Amino acid sequence: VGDLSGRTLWGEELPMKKRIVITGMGVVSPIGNGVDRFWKGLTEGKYGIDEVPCLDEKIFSKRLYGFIQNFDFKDFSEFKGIIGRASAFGIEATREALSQAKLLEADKTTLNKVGVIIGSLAGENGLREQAWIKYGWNSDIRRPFNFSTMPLISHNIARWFGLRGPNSTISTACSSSAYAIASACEMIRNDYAPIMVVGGVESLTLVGQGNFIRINALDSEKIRPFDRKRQGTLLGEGAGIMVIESLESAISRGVSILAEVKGIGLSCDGHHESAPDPSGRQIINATQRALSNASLSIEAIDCISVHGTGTVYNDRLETEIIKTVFGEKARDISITANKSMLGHGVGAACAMAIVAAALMMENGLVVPTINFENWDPECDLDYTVNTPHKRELRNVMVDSYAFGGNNATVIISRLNE
Amino acid sequence: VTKRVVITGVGIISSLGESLPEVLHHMTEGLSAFKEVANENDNLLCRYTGCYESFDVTPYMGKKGIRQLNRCTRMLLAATGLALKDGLCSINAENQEDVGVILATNFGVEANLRDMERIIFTEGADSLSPLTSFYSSINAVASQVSIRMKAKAFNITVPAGFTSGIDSILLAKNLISSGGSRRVLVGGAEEIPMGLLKEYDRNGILAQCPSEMLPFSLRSKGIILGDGAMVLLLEDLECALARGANIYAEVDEGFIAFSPERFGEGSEVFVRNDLENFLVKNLRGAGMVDLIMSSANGSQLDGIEKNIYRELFSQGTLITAIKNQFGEGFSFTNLLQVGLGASALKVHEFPGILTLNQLQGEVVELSNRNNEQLAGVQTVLVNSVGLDGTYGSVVLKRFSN
Repeated sequence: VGDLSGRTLWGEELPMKKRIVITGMGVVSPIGNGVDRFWKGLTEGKYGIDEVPCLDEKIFSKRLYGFIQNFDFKDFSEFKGIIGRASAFGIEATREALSQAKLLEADKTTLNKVGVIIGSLAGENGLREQAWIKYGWNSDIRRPFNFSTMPLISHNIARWFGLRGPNSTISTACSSSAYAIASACEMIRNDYAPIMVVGGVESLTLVGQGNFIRINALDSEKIRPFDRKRQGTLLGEGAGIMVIESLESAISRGVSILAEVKGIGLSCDGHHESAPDPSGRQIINATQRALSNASLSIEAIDCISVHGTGTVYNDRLETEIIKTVFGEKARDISITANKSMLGHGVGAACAMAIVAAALMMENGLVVPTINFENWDPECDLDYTVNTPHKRELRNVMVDSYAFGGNNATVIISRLNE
Repeated sequence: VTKRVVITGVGIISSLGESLPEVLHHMTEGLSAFKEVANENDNLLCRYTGCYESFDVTPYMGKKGIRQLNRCTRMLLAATGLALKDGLCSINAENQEDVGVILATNFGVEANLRDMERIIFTEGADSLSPLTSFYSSINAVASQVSIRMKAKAFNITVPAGFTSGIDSILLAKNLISSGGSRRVLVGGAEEIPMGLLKEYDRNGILAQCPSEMLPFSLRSKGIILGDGAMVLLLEDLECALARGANIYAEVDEGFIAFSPERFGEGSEVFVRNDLENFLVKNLRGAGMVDLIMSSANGSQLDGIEKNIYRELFSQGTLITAIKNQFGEGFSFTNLLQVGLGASALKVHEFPGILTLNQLQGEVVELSNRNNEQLAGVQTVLVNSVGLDGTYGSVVLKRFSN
């Protein structure tokens, strides 16, 4: 993504581009559904992870997961089509975001132009597993779908709200929603749609939990990013959805502007299927590209919502990279790892972190990294441990990395910045 | 003025050939990719696919390090190598951070997912192999391109349904235009495993044999599935000119959209209006289109496409359908439409073309055109109308500096 100030990454001149702003947000999460409950949970340091009864202990040796317990699925019983847990989360979060953006009751002419892009690792793959459970493995009974379950979330959101604009699904594993936002911004800037519903959605899949167990990526006790005794991550589910549009569109519609998507930087390690490049070079590139894209210096960043998965190696590498990019300034930046409360929301993680970032800016409060008990000498930044920290925030950087080395950094800013 | 984007390399792996000239030659000869499935014990009503089950990657990559890779990844890596070779482009330490990867795929890890689901339900999660765990995420296929070819600008997978190929082309164009990278390898790759074929077969939307899959024909009985990999090298024009690249076509504008209703429930008018508005806005109307690369696949949706074309375009407009020779390969054939459209603009060769006024009867005969008839083609419209409600178009133009 090029430089909004008018230059590409290679210094070539580009015309000024549209500024993109967030005008609606919605969340479904293990610590609370709806933005208000989500924010309350974040500020209280609520822990959303527990043993999940539906994970059969005969099949799964580790059953800790950020499972969404209190969600009413009965609203979706009359949906004409195939709908699963992930779509239901996506629709509920979209409803809240559209309402805040004053689009829920909009006329059809407006809704016909609204597009949807959802980032997700597994899409509605949970439906596949439910079908096997219902019909039996390798049964000759016809499953109720024969097309890919990956794009079903974005399709179902569009079907539910009658959105006819561009519809897409992006999957870059754990950074999927960051790439979805990058794609949605391009859609708006290139006049494919004036308004986009964008975000990330993930729900429990047995294949996902099973594979994370097999690669020894899960902590057996709790998720504790940057703690010296951290052993791994823990997965969770949820949805983070935003309504984004150009600044001109938001002003002309007279809606409240919650934050600006100031800059995005992308890169790929091209190194290994699951391990990050130990040099961190491409993560550094993504960070620097985001700063360049936002036309911001390192001095402007007040807070970093880190990827912070709780794995031994990744937390250490991320700390090193922040120190490399920000130098002495790194110690003055508030770091927060909300996966300590939510679990690793995989494809939804970045979108939920961006919603949290917008709320942190609005409230002047950095939410905590919980479960922190033991300092790690190799992780020596200000991680906002265990309790929230008051601070005026102008620009928050949200980092998102993934299997395959798909790195993305998104900078969210208060509009006057 | 945003950056102009051109296609400078084409790589194809399909059971109808492993290079553009070979594929065009076989298409002209009237050959198809369809073969009878080997397993006779599956009680399939449709026993034919255009899948490239026998693909051998070793001539492209040797034998080392390929054991864990699924067929889709192998086909994609080979097609990527071919696209780079065709584009006379190498990825090296100097340019690797300028090269991005975008892959359209819907079933790229379908075989792996089925295997993982089987293991979980029959043996438990502890029996999953950590060596192939990366295939639990659909981006694993595209990741191999970046890992092995060292393309490091970005790596994006678009599993967006029937129109994901056009979606990917437009995303690549936009990221190049905005300065996010100078080159993007855009792929469309699918692997149809037997289990998926059985599900389609049971759901009754497949024709029983290739002769019953008749694009645009009222007598068509359904679709035939196919797979393969297609990769295009898209490039910033200045970059392409600076290195003297062979330019197939310029990628012009495009759009994607979605029908919340099922086709047949009133959405046709939106598909028609969106296409018409797009053509008026970007090409000053449908009259500028010389060749339409349709997405006709023998399904009921062909009728929607046919009616829209009749309403919007002049009778002499050239039109073609490729899926009667490759099958419905989802993102693979979606990208193939783009690649063959670009090829038609460069080499003036394309088999199986008819004019719109031939779309009248119950049976539509596609006939070969010679180079002279295609020499006048300046603008190609690539369309996709999907059973899942996605639709979209992209315009390719003959390159002129």
